[in-house]
Amino acid sequence: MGIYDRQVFLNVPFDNRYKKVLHALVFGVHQCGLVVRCAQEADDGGQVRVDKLYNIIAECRFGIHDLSRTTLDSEYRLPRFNMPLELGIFLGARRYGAGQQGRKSCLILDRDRYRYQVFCSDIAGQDIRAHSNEVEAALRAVRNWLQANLPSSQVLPSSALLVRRYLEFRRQLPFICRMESSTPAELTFLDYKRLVTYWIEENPEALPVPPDRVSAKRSPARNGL
Amino acid sequence: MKRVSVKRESKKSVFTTQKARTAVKAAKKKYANKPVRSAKSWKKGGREWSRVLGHFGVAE
Repeated sequence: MGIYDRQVFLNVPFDNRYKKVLHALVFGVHQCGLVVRCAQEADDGGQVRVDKLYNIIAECRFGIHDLSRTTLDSEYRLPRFNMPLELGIFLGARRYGAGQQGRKSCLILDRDRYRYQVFCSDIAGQDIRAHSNEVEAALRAVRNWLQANLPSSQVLPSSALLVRRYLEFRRQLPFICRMESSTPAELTFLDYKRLVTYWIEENPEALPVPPDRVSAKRSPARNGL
Repeated sequence: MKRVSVKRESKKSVFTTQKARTAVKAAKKKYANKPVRSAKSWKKGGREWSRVLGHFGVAE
C-alpha cells in the first residue's frame, strides 16, 4: 500500500467536549496501521485554511467525518457548518478527482444514526454510523469500516482488543505527560499523535493471523480435500 | 449581525520526537509489572484515569 492508502483525514470537532472521542479515534486509526491527518497538524499562519484542507484531503484515501456538532449556536442560533463543508469537499474530490482520488472512502459519524436526515439528507446512502458520544462505539465503528475497506490480507485488531489497548494507553498517559510537566488536557494534536505512534511501536501486541494464512496452514485432510 | 473572528489557540508542542520516545519507554518500564486486570485496578490510576473510565461507563 502506498502512502495515499494509509492516510485518514479527520474532519471532527476539536472542542473540549469532543476530545475524548477525538483521542480515541486517533489511537484507533494508528492501532489499525494507518495515520491520521487533520487541519490542526500544521500551524502555518501564512497558508489559507481552505488550501491546507484541500492539500490534506487530496493526500488521504480515507476520511472520518463527524457531524455531531451540527447544532444551533446558543448566541446566534446558527449551526456550525465547517464539518459538512469539508465532507462535501471530500465527496467532491472522490467524484471529480483524477486517478487515485476515485478510490476515496469515508465514514460519517453522528450522535444519532438518522439525525443527518433532518439537516443533510442528500448524504443518504453513505456509510453513516452513530457513536452516541461514546468512545467504545466510535472505536468499533472506525475499526469495522477500515476492515471493510482494507485488503483482506490486512487483518485488524478486534474491537475488544482495540478498546483494551486504548485503556492501557490512557492509563499510562498521565505518567507520560508528567515527564514533561504537562497533563493530557494540555497536549496539542501533534503531541498526542506522536505519543500514540511511539506507544504503539513500543508496546506491540500480536495481531490475529490473516484468514488466508490460517487456511494455508490447515492440512488437506482437515479441509476435507 | 457583527462578524466574529475566532482566535485559535496556538499551544506549544512539548513533546519532541526524542522526548516522546523517552517518556513512552519510561511508562512502559513503570507499568510493565502492573497489567490491567480489573476495573478495580484501573481506578488506581488517579483522577485522569477515572475520568477516562467514565467514558466507558466503568468508573461508577
